[in-house]
Amino acid sequence: MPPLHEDEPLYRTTIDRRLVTRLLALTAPHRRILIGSVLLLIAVSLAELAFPLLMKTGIDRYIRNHDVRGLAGLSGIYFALLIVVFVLRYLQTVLTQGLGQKIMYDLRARLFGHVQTLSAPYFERNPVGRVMTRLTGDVEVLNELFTSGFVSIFGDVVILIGIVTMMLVLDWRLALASFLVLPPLIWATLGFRSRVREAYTTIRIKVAAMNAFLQEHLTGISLVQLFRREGASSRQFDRLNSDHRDAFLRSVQAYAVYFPVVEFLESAAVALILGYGGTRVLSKTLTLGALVAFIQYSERFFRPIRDLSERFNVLQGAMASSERIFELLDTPVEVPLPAVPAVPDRLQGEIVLDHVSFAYKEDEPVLHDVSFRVAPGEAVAIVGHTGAGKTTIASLLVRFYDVRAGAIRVDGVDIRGWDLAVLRRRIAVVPQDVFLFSGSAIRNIGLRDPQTTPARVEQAITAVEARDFLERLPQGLETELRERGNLLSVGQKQLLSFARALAHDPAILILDEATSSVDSQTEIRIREALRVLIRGRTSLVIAHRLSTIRHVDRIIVLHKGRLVDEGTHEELLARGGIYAKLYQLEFKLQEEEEERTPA
Amino acid sequence: MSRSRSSLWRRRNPLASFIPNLYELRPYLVAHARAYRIGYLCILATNGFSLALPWVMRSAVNHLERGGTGGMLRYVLWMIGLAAASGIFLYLMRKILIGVSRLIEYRLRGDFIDHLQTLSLSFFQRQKTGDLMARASNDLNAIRDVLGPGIMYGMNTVTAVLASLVLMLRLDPLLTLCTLIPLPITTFLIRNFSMEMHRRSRAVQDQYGALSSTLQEDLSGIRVIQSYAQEPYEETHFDGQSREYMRLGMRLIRYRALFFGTMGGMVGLLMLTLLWLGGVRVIHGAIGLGTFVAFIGYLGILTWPFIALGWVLGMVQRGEAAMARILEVSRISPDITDPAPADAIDPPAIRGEIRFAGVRFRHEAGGDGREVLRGIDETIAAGSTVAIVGKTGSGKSSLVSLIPRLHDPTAGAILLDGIDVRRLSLARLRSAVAVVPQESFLFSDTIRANLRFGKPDAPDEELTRALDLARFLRDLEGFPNGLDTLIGERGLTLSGGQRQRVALARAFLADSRILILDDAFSSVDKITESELLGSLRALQHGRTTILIAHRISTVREADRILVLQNGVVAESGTHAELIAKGGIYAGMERRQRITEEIEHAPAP
Repeated sequence: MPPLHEDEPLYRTTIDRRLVTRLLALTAPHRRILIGSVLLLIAVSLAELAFPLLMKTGIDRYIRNHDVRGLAGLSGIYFALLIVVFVLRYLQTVLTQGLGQKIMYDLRARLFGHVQTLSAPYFERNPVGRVMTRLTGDVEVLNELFTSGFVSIFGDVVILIGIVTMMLVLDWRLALASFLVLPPLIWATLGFRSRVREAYTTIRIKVAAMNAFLQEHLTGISLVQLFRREGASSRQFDRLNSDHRDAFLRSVQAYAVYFPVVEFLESAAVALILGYGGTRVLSKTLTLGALVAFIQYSERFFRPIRDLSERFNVLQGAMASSERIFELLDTPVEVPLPAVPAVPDRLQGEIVLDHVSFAYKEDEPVLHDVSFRVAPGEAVAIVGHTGAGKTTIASLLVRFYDVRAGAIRVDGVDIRGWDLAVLRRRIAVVPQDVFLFSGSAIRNIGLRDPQTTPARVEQAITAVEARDFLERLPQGLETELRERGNLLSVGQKQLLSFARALAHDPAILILDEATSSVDSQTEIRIREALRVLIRGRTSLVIAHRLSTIRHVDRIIVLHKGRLVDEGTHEELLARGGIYAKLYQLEFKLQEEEEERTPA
Repeated sequence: MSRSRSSLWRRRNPLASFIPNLYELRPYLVAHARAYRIGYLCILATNGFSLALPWVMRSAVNHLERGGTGGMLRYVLWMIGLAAASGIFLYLMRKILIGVSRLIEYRLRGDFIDHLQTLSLSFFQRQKTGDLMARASNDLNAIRDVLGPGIMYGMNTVTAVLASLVLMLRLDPLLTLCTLIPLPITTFLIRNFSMEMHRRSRAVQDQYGALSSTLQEDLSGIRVIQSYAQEPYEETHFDGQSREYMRLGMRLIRYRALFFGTMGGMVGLLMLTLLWLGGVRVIHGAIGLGTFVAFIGYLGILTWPFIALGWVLGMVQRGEAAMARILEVSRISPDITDPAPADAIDPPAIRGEIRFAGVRFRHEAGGDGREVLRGIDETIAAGSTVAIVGKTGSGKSSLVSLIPRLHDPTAGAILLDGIDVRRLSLARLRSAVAVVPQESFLFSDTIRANLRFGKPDAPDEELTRALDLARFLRDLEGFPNGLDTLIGERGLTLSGGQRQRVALARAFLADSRILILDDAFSSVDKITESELLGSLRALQHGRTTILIAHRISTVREADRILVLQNGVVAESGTHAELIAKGGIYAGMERRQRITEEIEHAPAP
């Protein structure tokens, strides 16, 4: 069962026809497999019906007539039929389960493709865990739906019809007599199912409560210990634990009643057949072989009846999962792609923000009427206090979000008209927090892009002067970076991120400098790497370092979402105002402190 | 129990060497010995009655063969009577034996959690919470499966096989041998099959894990992927993972199909053997048709126990591995414990003077192995207020965590009123210290329960007073259920500032000699902060207070301010002294002044 999030329902109470139609549509590409497995299912069900009949023939025709040779022949047929059933059953199982696997594969590919196109707001609303559950647990539930849901229900029904027909054909009166046990069986099964389901729902709630309690108390263990609450929290856990136990004992009770009842009914059916059938044998209206065959048939129809009710539960459980899956597939992409994407062939690297306004939430504007131009090849720094809207500009440029008003143009074309993939390939964003994928430095710099050849990656590593510390890692450049977490310092991660951008050779570079201070040696490296990085590219740097603001062509000052000043470092400093204060706070004091810090 | 005796036991009992981990459960089983004994009697009874059924059928068929009129009713009644009796004991068997496993599971889980609570913080910093939870759920479930269905089916199989063997041998020894030969083979096959199946499904599970982590990574790093337009390549990679998952899935499916096919085939072969050999024996007059039918009955009864035995063996294997994982944790003995009775000191009263004497500290695991505290020698006078400032990672929180012994120092000692804290009982020490932790952790419970954390029997008036001091009373009036308001995941979500104030009230209520506030005002506004500082002063009366803070406004009134840098005290003194010194602290102060100026600058 997939982990459920609290806000998600356990079961849908109804089986929605619209959903079922959509689910069945998933089998369309594999129609031949579906038809094949259904045909095999019918064949194998019919073949299995023959065994009691062979037993009957054996007893009546050969054993009672002392025909050893005939019996041997019949045994041969019995054996051959066993082989046939074995092969058919094998093929049928592999085909049906294979269908489920293929549908899962298709569905995952579709979901994954779709999820990747979704934009930042979606991922802000939906935690990673929840989206993962859609692609993992929910898809598995659908697999169950196809393999032990639809196909098996059909199979059970076929078998039941077959058995009932055979019994009626053999002797309709005896058949009706043995059907006497069916009403109590169905009644017991339904009662059992509802009780077990109730118990399991309670159990799941209790398990969730226990897990939540544990999660919380293990995370907050220091508080428990500090306030000497070990005893109290033990008692609290004990209540949950004993509720869980009691819910389970209820399910144990349900099973403990149900199994004996079914066994009793099976024996009762045999007794009925033996009693009534035996009387008929004595009156010579039924053969002894038919009686034995009847007993064997009656044993066979208990299982499908027991299973059917279980299968409906699977069906119901799968409705909730499929609804969640379709909901994800139906989530529209919030950054709409242009109908005719523009692919300007030669990139100059000009950026224009034209009266841009933006807000993450309706009534909390982040950027207000911001306009500026960055000429091709120019290096521009953006400075501003926390919350000025600096990082937002970077997100807007690569269309993680779209502007609310105004426009952003790259090389004279509104970025909403650009082919998104081409735009993003030409702009590299180096974010403040470096995300590392599991894998080596090579993998992290080159990503999975075939264009970033190992040679290019190595070149980038050398260019940002990251080679020496990467080679010092336990397995050198091949060292798994994520597993051990703290192998790299913050500054080293920055350099890795620079190399990542460099290896992808963008025309425009957007760099969100890290605020955290690094040791002076790394500081020098970062300064040098930055110089390499911005050479020959249009660069927009959200600056947190003194060296950066001294080396760019121009500085833009943002304050509370507005552009308040613009110019070179010297010009701005001379004018005083917010820049002068920012300069003191973010750059000058920082430098002083770093000088004081012993290396 | 002494060590030598338990190892003697080990030698004597073959189970101890066969399943050494599960053998550790012995005390739990012994505690429920009665239930297991009665359960076993039920197994005997239910088998006794159900194995009599084919015998009745034999008589009935013999009666039919002889011909004659009527007389079938007594067989019907016998059969129904026997089936009912068997059913009753089957019910009792399941209820007792499965039920007892649930009781033991409950005890095991409770004991496991109790044990966890005695372990020190460093253990929890090493161990992932998710992993511990998996042990408390999945592993205990696997163990319970052994204790319930495992033991039940195990005993049932042995009983059913022995009893029916006796009965069948009496009917026809030759036919018995011929038909029963495949059954042990079946058990063997199932065991081997289930081992291979387990291997294959592990491979599927592992690939599922790989698929999940690819997914997890891709979703977590979606911004990098999107901003470098890497979607097509990620899709190719994911497709490879997904395809491999399908391939491994098919591998398991084919094996499983083979397995179930073979099982069905084995049962079919049994019937075939009976039909042919049994038929010939009937023809030759060695047995009657009744015996033939009775054999059909016995084979039907015996099939399931043999299948179950295979499953049980698999269950035991998994349970043994699970038990190893449980023991791994339950064998860890707590490293921060009460002092040995000989070392223990129980002072009549605690004044609250704290002395750090040459304190060094390094986290055992996690982190980079760097020393967090590198020689701290400071005395905090009883009843004084001391503030600690410094950058993130300078060791502030580590320093205060040593006082209530969440950690012990790697070198040096912490003395409370001149007594090494390791010589005080944990209960005594911790009741003298109240902490407001950095993340102001609250539990998903009512506000009342959260407040009473440190003082379980506090009356409502006291709670209200603490809330008033923590400036939370006005917030509380806005909540419909007052003190009974549920907070956290299932209730009201409090803002960061509200959480801090509740955590503060919780600490106030504990009424300890020493109050430690670890960055406890970071999420409240300036005005509230100054009110809270006022409350603190009112509460002071001889209380030692340690304040970790970032804002100058929080610490400026303290009797002394310690500036921590890289694990040593770099500066110390009063606010005025430190400003005059013009060092780190003065820099901090200047920085905050300019920040305020910028924040207050109007937007154009």
